[in-house]
Amino acid sequence: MKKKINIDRDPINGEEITSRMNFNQLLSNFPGYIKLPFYKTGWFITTVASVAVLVTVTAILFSNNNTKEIIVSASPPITTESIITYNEDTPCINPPIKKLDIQSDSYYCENEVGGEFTHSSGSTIVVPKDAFVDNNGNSLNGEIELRYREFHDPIDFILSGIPMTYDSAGTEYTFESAGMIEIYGYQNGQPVELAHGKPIRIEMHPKDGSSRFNLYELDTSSGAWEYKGKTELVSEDMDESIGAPSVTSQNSNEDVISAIMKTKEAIEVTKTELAIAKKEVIEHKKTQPPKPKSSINKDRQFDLDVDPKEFPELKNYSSLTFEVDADDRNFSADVYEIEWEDISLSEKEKGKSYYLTLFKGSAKRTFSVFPIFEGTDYKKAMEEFNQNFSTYEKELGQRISQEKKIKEKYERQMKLYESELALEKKRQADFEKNQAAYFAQVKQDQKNILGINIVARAFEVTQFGTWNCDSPVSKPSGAKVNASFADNVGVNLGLHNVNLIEKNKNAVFTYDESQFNNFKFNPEEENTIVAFTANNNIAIIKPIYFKDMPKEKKHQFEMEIIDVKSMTVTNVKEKLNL
Amino acid sequence: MQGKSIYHQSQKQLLSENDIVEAAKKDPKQFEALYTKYYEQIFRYIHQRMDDREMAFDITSQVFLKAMINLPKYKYKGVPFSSWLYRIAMSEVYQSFKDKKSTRTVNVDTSNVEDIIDEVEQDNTGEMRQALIEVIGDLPEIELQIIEMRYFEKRSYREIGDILGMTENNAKVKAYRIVEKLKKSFSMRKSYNYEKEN
Repeated sequence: MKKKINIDRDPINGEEITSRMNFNQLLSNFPGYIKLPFYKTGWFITTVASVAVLVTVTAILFSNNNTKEIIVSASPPITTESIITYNEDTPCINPPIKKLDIQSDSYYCENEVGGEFTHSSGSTIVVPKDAFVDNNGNSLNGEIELRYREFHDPIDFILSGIPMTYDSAGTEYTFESAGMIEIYGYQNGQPVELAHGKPIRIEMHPKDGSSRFNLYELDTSSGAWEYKGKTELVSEDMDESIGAPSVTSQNSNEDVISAIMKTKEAIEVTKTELAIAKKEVIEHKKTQPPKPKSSINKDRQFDLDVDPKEFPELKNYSSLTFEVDADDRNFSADVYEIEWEDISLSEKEKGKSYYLTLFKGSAKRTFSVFPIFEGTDYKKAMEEFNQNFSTYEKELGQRISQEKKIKEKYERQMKLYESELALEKKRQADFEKNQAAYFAQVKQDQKNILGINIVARAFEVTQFGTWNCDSPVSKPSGAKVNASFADNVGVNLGLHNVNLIEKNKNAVFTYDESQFNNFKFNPEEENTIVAFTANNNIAIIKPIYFKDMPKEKKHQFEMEIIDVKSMTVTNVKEKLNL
Repeated sequence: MQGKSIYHQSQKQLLSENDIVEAAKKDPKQFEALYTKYYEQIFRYIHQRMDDREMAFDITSQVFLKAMINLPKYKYKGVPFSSWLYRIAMSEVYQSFKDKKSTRTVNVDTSNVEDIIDEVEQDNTGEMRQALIEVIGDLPEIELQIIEMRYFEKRSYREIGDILGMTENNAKVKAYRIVEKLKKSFSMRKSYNYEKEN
């Protein structure tokens, strides 16, 4: 799907949205809602009824000797029964070329009787009696139409547009299918539903009789397949199911992932704690009390009376002398020769350095100064400094120790997170390995040891929709290219996705355009690529192409274009010869 | 997400909401309370995924009409009524893309992109933000939806699960996988750039 990206679009305010609300209009569009004519409104009925009672009573009173029977005919109640049915659209099923979509066949049965039908593929559809109900769960009488279609090979899967990927605990697999069906029921063109406890049994002729295929149902709202259990293999000699292990149950790593995520969430919290602790240490260092200074250069000093309200840090000193920084070039001895009119002091670094400004008319001179202490003031200042510095150091030590503790906790959590991740990766790899070995073993046992001749794969459909006998497989591996797709004269086809088909797997591996740079295939297999162009034609790469394909990191596939405008599904299959 | 989220409701609130739903099944006029409660949320959900504001208003009306029509089929499952509305909205939105009435649009707020950058442990530079937006735009639809709901609309995993018809845990796992995928994609991009520069 082509997408447009907007960055920082102007927001729309709530008032504008709510101003567009119009429930009355919605109600008037509601098919079951009928606006009452005035003579059916409450006030009219009440008024008329009162008048009628009055007239009746009067009539009885006045015709006492000649009583008449009054017959009241009730009007039909106004209801909302004419509700139309709504089959949720299925955005996840998108046939790429509508006219090449796989067509359904219709079978008809009386609901009171049920029926058994044989599809053109040889599959059997067994419908129990009273299997259909309406949308409200009420049993139906009469003829029901069943619309049924089957999908057996990669071309069926591609042309139907049914998604063939399966998500198991966050890992995406592709379905290798042993047959897929879609079934819906209708009465008089309106959808019906399957009654609870009245499943339809489907028996398909199996292309692959192995037991590794499970049953899945497509949730058309989310496009996800739901695991529905095992399919039943019907054999000539034995009529019992041979179950394959559920990928879901063996691969239920959701708890592990949940644990990893919990650790990650905890790491995020610790990370924030650590940042705060670090900031606190930095901030605290800024509060280090300045060490009092004694006089250095008597030729650069000013005596000032300081307002203790303005500079509380200097309040303990009777009189204060400020000395100009040795490297302040603004200062020269001539300042003492001028009679200044005003003087101001402002803080540069609390308790440590200040700006001293002298004013005369429009002239002013500013110097960087620091307080100096002498005699008892210096002693007092040193005592205070020692006390403050000791407190400062103590608190700094506590903060550094806190930061260290959090850092250690963070490192422990990171270690745990990495080990959990490594474990999960190993578990996943082991699982895939074991699963492959298991399936290979089952297949071997079935073929050579048990000698079972499977004649049908059966399952029960408990609600209408799409059902699939599948085995999830991983994407091919062995070779990887950064792929682009062009026609045979090298013009890029602008494809949104391509489908890779391996001859020995009844599966379609779909790569969307974001995955073209990581296009993987197994060079040992007989591969075909099928895609749809913007003009609704089919673009194809045949197996022979792969044989002559150079080994390179970046490859432009030059595709053959097949005009399918006048083709049927059968023609397409013949042409592709898969 | 702009607009007040009213997804999380107590058991009592949910049951009381269901009473309204049951009343609306009998009398369509009663649906007005649900329409008023959820109109803005549903509009924002639809508008977030497309460019055309008017089309978003049209689809919003269509969603509520379809909800009213199908209300007799609605069954209470212990989650807010809005999750059902969102599913209809999702279906209608995709139908509009399919019918080419509107274009799938990813509306990105750069401040939300920064959250994702943080999550994928990358430097928050202009170049990285641009790269991330490109990568997000290329994500398969289901993954894009999860990113949109989690990071752009700030929905809880529970709500995402309810809307997409999966468990809360599965939504979490999927989001985790997508972030891992983005991380991988960035590290590949970095090593590719490094190789190119050297």
